[in-house]
Amino acid sequence: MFKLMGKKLFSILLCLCVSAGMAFAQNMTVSGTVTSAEDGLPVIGASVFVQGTTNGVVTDANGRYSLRSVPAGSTLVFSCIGFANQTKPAATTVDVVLAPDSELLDQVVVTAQGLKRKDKAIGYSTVKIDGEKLTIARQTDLGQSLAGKVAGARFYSSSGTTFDSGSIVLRGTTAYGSWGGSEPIYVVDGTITNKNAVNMDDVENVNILKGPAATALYGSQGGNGAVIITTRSAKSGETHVEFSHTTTMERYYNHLKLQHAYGGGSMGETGQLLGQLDSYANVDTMSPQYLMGERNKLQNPDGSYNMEWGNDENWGARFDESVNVASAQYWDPTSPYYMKADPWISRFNPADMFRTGWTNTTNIAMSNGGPKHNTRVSFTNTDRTSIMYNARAVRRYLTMKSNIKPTNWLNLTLDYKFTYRQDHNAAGDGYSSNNSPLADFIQWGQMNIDFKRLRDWERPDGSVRTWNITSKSNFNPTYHDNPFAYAELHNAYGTYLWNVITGDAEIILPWNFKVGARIMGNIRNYHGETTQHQAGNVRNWESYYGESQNHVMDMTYQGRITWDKSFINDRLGINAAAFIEQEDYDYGTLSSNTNAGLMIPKLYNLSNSVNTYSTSNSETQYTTRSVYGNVTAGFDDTFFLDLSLRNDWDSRLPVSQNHYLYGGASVSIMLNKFFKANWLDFWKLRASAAQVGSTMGAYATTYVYGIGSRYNNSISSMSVPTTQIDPDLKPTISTSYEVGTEFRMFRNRLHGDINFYNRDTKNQIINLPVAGQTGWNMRQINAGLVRNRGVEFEIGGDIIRTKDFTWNADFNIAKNVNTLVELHPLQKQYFLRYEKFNYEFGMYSIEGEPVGVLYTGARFKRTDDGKYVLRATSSAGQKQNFGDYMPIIDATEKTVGNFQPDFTGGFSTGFRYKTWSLNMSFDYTIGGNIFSWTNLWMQGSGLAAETAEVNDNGVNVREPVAKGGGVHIVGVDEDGNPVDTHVQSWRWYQYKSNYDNDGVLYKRTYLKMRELSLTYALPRTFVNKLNIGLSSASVSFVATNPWLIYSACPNFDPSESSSNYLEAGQTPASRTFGLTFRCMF
Amino acid sequence: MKMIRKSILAALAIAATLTSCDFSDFGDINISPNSPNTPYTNLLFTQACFTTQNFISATSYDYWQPNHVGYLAESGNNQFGSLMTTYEFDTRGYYYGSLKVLNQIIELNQDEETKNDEVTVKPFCSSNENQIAAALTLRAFIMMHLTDCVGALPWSEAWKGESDDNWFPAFDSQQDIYTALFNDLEQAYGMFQEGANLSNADILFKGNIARWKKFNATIRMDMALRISDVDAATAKSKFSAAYAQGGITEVADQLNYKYDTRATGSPLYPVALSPSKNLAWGPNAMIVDALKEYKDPRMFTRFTIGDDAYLGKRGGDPTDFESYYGITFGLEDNPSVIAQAGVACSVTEKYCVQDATYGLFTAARSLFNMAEAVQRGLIDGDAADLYAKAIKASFAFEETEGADEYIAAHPLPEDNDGAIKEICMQRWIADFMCDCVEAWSDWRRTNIPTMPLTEYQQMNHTGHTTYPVRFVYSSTDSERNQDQYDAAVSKYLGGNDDQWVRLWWDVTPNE
Repeated sequence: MFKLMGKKLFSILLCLCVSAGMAFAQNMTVSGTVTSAEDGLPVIGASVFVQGTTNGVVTDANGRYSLRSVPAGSTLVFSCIGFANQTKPAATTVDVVLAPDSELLDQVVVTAQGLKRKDKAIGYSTVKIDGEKLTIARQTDLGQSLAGKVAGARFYSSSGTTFDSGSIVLRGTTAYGSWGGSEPIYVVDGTITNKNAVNMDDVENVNILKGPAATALYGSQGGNGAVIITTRSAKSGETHVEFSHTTTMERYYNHLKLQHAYGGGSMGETGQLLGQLDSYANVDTMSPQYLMGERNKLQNPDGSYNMEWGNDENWGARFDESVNVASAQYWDPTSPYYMKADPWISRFNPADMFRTGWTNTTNIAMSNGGPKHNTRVSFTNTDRTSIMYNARAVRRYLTMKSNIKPTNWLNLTLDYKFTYRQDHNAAGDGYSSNNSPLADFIQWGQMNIDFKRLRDWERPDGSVRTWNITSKSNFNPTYHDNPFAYAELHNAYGTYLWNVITGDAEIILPWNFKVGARIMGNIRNYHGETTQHQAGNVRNWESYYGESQNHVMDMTYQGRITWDKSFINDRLGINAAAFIEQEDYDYGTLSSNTNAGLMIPKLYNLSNSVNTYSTSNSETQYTTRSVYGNVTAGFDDTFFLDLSLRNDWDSRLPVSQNHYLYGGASVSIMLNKFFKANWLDFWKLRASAAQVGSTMGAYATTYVYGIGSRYNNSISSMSVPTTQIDPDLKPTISTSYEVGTEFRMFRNRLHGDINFYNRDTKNQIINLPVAGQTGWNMRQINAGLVRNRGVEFEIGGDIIRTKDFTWNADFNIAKNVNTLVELHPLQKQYFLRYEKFNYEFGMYSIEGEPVGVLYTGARFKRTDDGKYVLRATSSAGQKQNFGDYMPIIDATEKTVGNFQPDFTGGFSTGFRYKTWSLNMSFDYTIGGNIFSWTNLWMQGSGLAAETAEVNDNGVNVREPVAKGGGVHIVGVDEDGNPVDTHVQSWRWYQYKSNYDNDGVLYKRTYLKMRELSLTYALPRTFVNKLNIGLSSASVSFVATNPWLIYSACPNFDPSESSSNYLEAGQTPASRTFGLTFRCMF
Repeated sequence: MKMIRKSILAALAIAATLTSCDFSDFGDINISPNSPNTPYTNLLFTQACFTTQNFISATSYDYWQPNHVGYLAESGNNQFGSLMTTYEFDTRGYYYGSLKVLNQIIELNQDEETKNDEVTVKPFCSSNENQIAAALTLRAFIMMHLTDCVGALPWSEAWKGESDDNWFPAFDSQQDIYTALFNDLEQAYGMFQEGANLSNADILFKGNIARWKKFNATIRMDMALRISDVDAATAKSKFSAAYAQGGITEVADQLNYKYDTRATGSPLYPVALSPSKNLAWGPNAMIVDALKEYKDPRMFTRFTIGDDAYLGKRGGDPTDFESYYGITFGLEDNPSVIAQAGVACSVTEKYCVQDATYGLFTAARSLFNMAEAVQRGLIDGDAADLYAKAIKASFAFEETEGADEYIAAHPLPEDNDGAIKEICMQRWIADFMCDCVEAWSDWRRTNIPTMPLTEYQQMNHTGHTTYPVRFVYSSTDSERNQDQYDAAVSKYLGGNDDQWVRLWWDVTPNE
């Protein structure tokens, strides 16, 4: 009857080892049961000692013990980690109820530079998440697994087919020119490294330090917060072998609402126009019989019609299965569909473009801990085939973490983490992108295309079959190639090799001093290779070979001295640490590619380039030196003060001022010490203030000339610098203040945290545009103040906690208000970026507004409350084109929204019944705007469901207005009089996609279930009975991205947008389902 | 206690060591190894030479230069042409790019500290004077085009951002700019030393100082002729002085631009690159109709039809003028454009090859200028002879036979007005795909040929019946230098930064 889980299990195991090896004495035998006061469950592994002796035993799986040779009149000590010790006089039967140790609540938090501090002593907001909560669904990427779990952390990622690990932004945008915000640093076991070099299977816990007060000790790099990852290590006296394996299946997740009533081509445009005329009142002008037959005379001898293969829009004839139509394959003698016409029906199913992806993740870890050493070695292999054909991602992690204590005054740590990461043919979004076949097809496509048929893409002569042939005798594509051909003829590999090394030696000196030396290295190599073959008639790519390499050598050398001591009968405790550090960074790139194709097909060598191949390289180096320190003082375990100070010297800053001093201070008070309420376990009030400086890119302080283009490949040219550099540029400084409180009550059944912060970032280094006639285009100067103000709130706990059943839930929400308080006296707004098809739409930073003001260049005129303003059509031509009214195009630039969200957050919940457990995690965003290309093009090309819906007359909008069709528009005319009218659908949606940029701006609100898992752990009793050395085993059903519960954006998932203000032809969404098996010996 | 004292002393010793070494000294680590930190005059000069091709035509998207004078018209669709919308002319890049490059050459050759540096003199020219003179000449040539596009521009306060902390330069009148350019050119002319040639970094004249001198005089004649309506006295003195020094009269001396072998290539090369070879810009009906009317054999060396046509194919007798059609710019809609383009002739292969040679400032143009100057009384000479030489130079450059017959068929009219008209018309015909900004300036000054807006273009430009006569300033000029921009617009443009406000030297309205 062993039903304890998680942390408790761990503490029991500790108890087991602590109490191992006890000797026996004589006299009476005492037996009894030890139970927990908290839940009445038996306490397993509690030790029972005779006081003052080494005689003791541990409790069994039922909490029972039996201790022989107890001298009468002696005292028994009952202890177990997590519970307060208890003493009882010896008797034949002694049953004990252990109360939880309040010290259990005294969690230790790893803060900056690996300094361990009591939770109580921390005067700023941190969030600690246990590794097991992050691996619920066996996500292989850290970012994905953190989504929704930290208040105030926004998670951005693309869909799974991009193999993107996503990025996290804490507390909003701090730079006027970087709307998305900057990522925090990722610190693994004390070494600043990359999130992609983290093996989730090794993660013991993750601590998120959100503000500068938390990260002042990391210097400029830590200005955007820090994600501190502690990996698992072997525990003294334990030897384990752990094994886990997950197999998941990945399926395309459809968010598109497509129409299935009208087919491809543009004949329907004529059908709509003619249908407006009285003379066609009795002609079914939208029928395939009329459009392809009677009107365009496209009949074949077998009675089938020819469709518009060369067209790539979907404004064609109405589907009608009684009519046979010749597809592109009909004319291809090498196709099995040669001379076989098909019924004119909707055949496009997005899922046909994809396969089922499979991911296998296996981890094996071994740990061994002795009295003077402990070592853990772990290896994970992940092999993932994407739902996209010929796309695959491989991740391999090998880690070794070792700790040696050769003497009692020396402590050596060696840590090595190796990551191999390869992406093959990652998907990418964009307009008309080969890397995103679905996006390409829903921008321009035909609903009658059957993609199952196009899988067989290669003709015997090596040319490629496409749906979009030029004519019945010319099989070259008009616009679009066969996406399956691209998937196989294009092979792009990106391979990273990461080596993260940490070596640390610490000498313990008298009087509580410790000195340490540490070396931390990030050594990375990247190799990218792309081969591309332009088969016979391919239109959209050419044969190509490209190779690129880069390397990073980032070494940090650190010396430190630490000291802690308590005074006044332990009432005053002081921890102090001082560091000296140097970081040497070196980054080099080399890339080369062929131009204008390859002379000999499929010979992938640069010398085979048709035109001269291109090569470029670069080298970047910098050094920073730092001296910093930290002092924490605690009084009566109630009042705490923490001070940090740091001075950096940075080679990237102007020589005249290449150093800067900054720091932070925080205080915390344990309010629960002032209340004698036993339901209040912990109540802390905290406040902090800090400054963090930041630096600039290398080589930005001196002028360089550009090597320009080379005339006739021989005479070179040189360009002059165009950005003037302020020789007295200062580093950017972020100043932040925060106050917050956190509590735990009812024996840890309820916990909460609320935090308010204000963060001002000034002295931004901006390129101020100046009149070109000054001789410069820009001036690089200090300017700007960006303010982020916000509140973060978390609450959670065990809603139900009984012996067999628990239900817990955690919820968080955050609001960040971002403002560009000032930019520059000469400049009130800064242009960020734009996109343009007919009219541009894009984004600004404007003084007084949140960074990321969205604007459009044209729109359908609307009233303030969103009604369309329409103009009565005057000429016969206009009436035929539109109906009685047409939209008015307003082509003035206008602000329409902002990309910053109102609220972000997530929640997770778990249920446990006996050894079954069910866990779910969710995340959400409320507010903020996003533009959508998918919607723009789906409407324009006539694929979107609304372009062929049934209107209020009960007639499809595709039918001519004169026949009851048309899009039903309720608006006003230019004088404000109400208008209730129908507009020809083709004109309406084509105009919309060309001119109505406002129409594709959406709220980015969504709610998503990101993870789901159902786990069954083998009961301990069963495991023990097996007697094969197995100590635990479980099996889980896991799912990621299972359900986009709500999205304010039609046809795409706003949580998976790569460019976060713009959905630019989203890569296909996917969801995974699988099984995980874990066991430990 | 002893130990504590010792520890403190040790800590202080460490601290002292740390502070004694200079943490802020990083040596040269922040000097970029990826780009040069020193300017090379030869490389800078080549960079500045590249700029001159801008006056022939853009190489992609919007070929406004040949479009503004009726040489090319958009053939694919009707939406991008510069005549459809208000078009800004951005001078920024010229100022901080090409003109600044030339300033830097001048400074390096003037500064006592750098003028004898190996990197200044060795790779380009041993004579500081020649470097300065060529840079001044090229700078004047570029600046003349800029002011001829928009009018007033910063000159006396330009390039003083860093040196004088003047980030808001005032605009000088076009007249003042012309005066300054005349001075610079005259000064440069006097500095040229024919003994020392420039290196091959001079891609315009292959380093030949004698040709630079002729070019220098030719620019001054061109400028003098341009201001002849507004300031006849200056025009006469400047023209006659330059004419006496000698301008370009031989095809061998003219300024050509040979496009390079890089992917961008000649303006019409991107068009030739496209798989369907469908010219997005094709021959404009104005030039095709003019050649047809004149029965000008240059029709056949410029344009082509028939199955062997380089771009596009259409039937008809290629030796018959009547078989050739151009595309009208400014048609009602895309189908009309495509319909016209479908029957239009194509430019010949020589304009479409990647490393094509285009005339930039031709001998023909220089000779026509001299002929016009004779007719206008700026110099004495034989106008008919200069006119005939000009036509011959044009035919020779274009490798067209029949110059003599053509001159016989189109002799220079006896009457002065008629002669000026004929010279201007012939100069416009000869300037096809040469310096189109110059050709546009000629039209603005002389109103020859007539360039009416089509009915459809007039709908977009209410109240205007002819092609525009200047460009509006870039919005960056008004945004980044607002006070000076406002002052210039009110002072020189009557408060109206508009495409139909005439420049200083453009005194007669266009019809």
